[in-house]
Amino acid sequence: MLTEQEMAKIRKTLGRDGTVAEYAVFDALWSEHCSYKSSKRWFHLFNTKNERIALGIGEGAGLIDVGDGLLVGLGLESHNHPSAVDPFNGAATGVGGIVRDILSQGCKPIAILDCLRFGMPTSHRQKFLLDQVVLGISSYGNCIGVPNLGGDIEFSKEFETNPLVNAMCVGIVEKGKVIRSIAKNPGDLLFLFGSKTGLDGIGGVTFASEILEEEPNSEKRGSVQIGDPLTEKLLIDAVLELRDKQLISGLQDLGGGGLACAAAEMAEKGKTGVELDLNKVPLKVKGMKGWEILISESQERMLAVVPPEHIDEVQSVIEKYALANAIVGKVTDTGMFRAWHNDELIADIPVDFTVNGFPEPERTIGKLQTRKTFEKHVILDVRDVLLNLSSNPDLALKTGVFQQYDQHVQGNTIVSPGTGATSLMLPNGKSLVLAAGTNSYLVGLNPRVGTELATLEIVRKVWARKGEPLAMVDSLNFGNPEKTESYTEFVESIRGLGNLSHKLDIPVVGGNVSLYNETDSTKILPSPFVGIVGLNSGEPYRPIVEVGDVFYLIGSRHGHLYGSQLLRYYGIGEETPPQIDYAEEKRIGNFLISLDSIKSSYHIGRGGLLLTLSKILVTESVGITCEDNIDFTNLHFSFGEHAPRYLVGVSENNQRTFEKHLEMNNIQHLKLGVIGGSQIKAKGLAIQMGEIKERLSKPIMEALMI
Amino acid sequence: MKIGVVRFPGTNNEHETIRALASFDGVTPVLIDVWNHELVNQVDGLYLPGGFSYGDFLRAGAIAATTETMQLIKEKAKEGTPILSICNGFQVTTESSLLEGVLLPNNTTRFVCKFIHLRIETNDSYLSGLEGQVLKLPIAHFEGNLWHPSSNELEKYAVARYSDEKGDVLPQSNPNGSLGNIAGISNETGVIVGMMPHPERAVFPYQGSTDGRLIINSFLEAVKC
Repeated sequence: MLTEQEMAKIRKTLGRDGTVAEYAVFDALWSEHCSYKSSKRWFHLFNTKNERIALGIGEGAGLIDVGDGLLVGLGLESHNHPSAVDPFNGAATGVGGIVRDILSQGCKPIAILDCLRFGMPTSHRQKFLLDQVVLGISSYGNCIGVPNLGGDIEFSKEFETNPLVNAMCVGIVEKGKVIRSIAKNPGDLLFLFGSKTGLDGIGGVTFASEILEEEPNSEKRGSVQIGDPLTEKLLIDAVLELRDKQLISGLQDLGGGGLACAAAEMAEKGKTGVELDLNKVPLKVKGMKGWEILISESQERMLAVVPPEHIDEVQSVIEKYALANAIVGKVTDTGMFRAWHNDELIADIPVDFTVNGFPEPERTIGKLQTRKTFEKHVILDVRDVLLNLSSNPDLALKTGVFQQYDQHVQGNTIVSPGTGATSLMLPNGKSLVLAAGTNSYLVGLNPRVGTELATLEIVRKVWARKGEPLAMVDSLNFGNPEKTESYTEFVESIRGLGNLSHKLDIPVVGGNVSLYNETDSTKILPSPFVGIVGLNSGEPYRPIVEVGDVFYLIGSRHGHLYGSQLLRYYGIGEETPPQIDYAEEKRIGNFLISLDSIKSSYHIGRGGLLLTLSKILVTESVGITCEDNIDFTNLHFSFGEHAPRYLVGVSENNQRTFEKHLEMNNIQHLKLGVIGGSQIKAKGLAIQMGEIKERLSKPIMEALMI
Repeated sequence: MKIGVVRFPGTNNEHETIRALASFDGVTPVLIDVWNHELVNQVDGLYLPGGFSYGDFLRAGAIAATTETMQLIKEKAKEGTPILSICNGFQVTTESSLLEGVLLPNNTTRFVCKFIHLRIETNDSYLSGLEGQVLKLPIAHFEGNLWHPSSNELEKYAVARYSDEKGDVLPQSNPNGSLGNIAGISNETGVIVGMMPHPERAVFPYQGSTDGRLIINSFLEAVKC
């Protein structure tokens, strides 16, 4: 909804009242979702450039040079509000939307990742949401033939009314074939193709920028788009053919704000104008009003800018794929956004003002209260803690979810989702390492440092799989920015992410902001999702664990209990966050990348060494016999997190060389034990893998009722 | 040797199939779309890859089975052209009655994607050379539950069964409820083979298994004959 301040500015600038259509366009383009009006002012804190970045923030995909004339495209976007109302379609169209975003730059989509948040999966409602969101992602992603390569899932009561569904897409394009989302040549034609335009998703972005009511309202269902993955698959094939034949001069998908947003944004980038004839738009239903056609968010549509001499060939390509299409307008040199419907000029507004003219709303930053819930010196039984933490859905195995996604389609997958980062083969013989997520609980404790620590964990995942981190995309999910506390969390989090992006030189190449994830009584745990792509220029790396392998702990001997799962569930830990030593993190990360004689490697994440080790062993159906000096009763050793710590497996005959190599590089290490048997066997701890497996498998299996 | 890779609208395994075929000496993969399906008459063998032809509308494979493209393929099948049909391609061949049985939704009611083991059975198809071998291949499907009103009829044509890694055919190694753990079948003459697992996704070491090469190789040998 436009604010009074915004209405006044529109009247003053136009020198008249706006038309219904014009207000609808402003409402869409000036929504938080499209305009970033509360957030853009902070983006200068991000590192956004280095020599590898071919295209930064601002279009559908950020583009990164991976050598040999190949660029990798990245995008990450939220689809939270639609998924709260209609989880199946909301999640499905979330995938569809991000795929079209990177397609806009001519990228062939090669991987999808998703970051999901729900309430505890014990109530019927939360189980339903989880089940339907997973089904939505699976039915859409599998059908369009893009492998799902991970992401993260967490559960906490703060997400009960505001579940989060964020999707990331990775693509590739050859350097010379990049398409830009720009309309720079007056006289070029605007060509709309894909699905027909309907009444679904009217006002979607405005809806996304409102606070949800306590009870999900079925009347909002008209704001949720319905996906058609078959059309999306054909759209992908068609766009790639247009790209290879180099027939178009600009392309943007119709996402938030529909046709109006795509046309206005491309004209704004090209410093041109656009003229639209809405009667030309192929419709699903008769009698749609002009303003509805302008802002409808019907899925699977794209707007191409086509030089007139290519239009016949473009049309014949699109017809081959049996996609709806029409020339709906042209690029002009007027600087005006004009739309005609039934011979009436229903919108006549300056392009620049439409895209950038919003008055910056005032937002207030305050001081966040420190959250303390500590109890110290409690004696715990390690075995009990391990089993209890394993029963927590956040730490549990997500196999039941990932098995519903096609992880191997396109045949490039090297490492599937499971323990740590995934990876896939590129056509140039190098491979990409992918990881996405955050740690909402930790960010909730301290938005600035928490964001740094949580993001660092994603970076460690990439290092552990021999990826040199190249770039990241973010999707910042927070509460209502009109409230001081929520806005402060948001700004603090950006400060943290900004710092990390500079310290590790991992530029931010794109992103999304989802505010208003708040109802009257609860707001979400702040969730700054980050997706990181790393490059492995060496041999493709696929971790293998076999009986007889020797496992080492590499890096810090102990982790921190601040923000750990032990703190979360037992109230035990430090009161202040650890200092981050970026130089040391980088040194160990680079060391891992350089290793070539190892069989497996894992970052130590949620739940610390013991949980990470348990998950690996359960996944590989093996046990471990530990050395005599391994003492799991030390809680910082067993359950500490947020430190540069990794598990590395080497073959028995390789131990000496490996240890020498570690010593030469001055890397701390500790031999943990030898893989084999069916239990974790150490001094004072013996536990059957079957027992842990049951605990680790149960939460998600029960939640999915399978 | 030219192998036609048939792409219906919604087929989405064409890329890995083409790449896999091209990695065999002397093989030229030819992408065949519904708008140039006359190419069917210019190839020596046909590979029907997986995906969601026509969005799986009505039933997986049901619409593709009614196309003119499938008519042309049936003609070729009559002439004895070897066919390998995988996943959605398998669904299309059963819907077209080139193979017996139907593929029902998985008994888990979920899409399933994972690596499985497969034991090649005694059979008269072009896979007979692999008899008794246990292969590791990925699966990825929602409708892979092979069913037939007469289990004897289906048993006659079984070429592969879901098993554990030792080759024991157990109920717990059945990922989708298929009758008799049958993962793949052939036609009467053994020149058409259909299966749910994906050999084309297990041909390069980085993919975690290269066992798919054995199946594709057997198919190509049949094409050569």
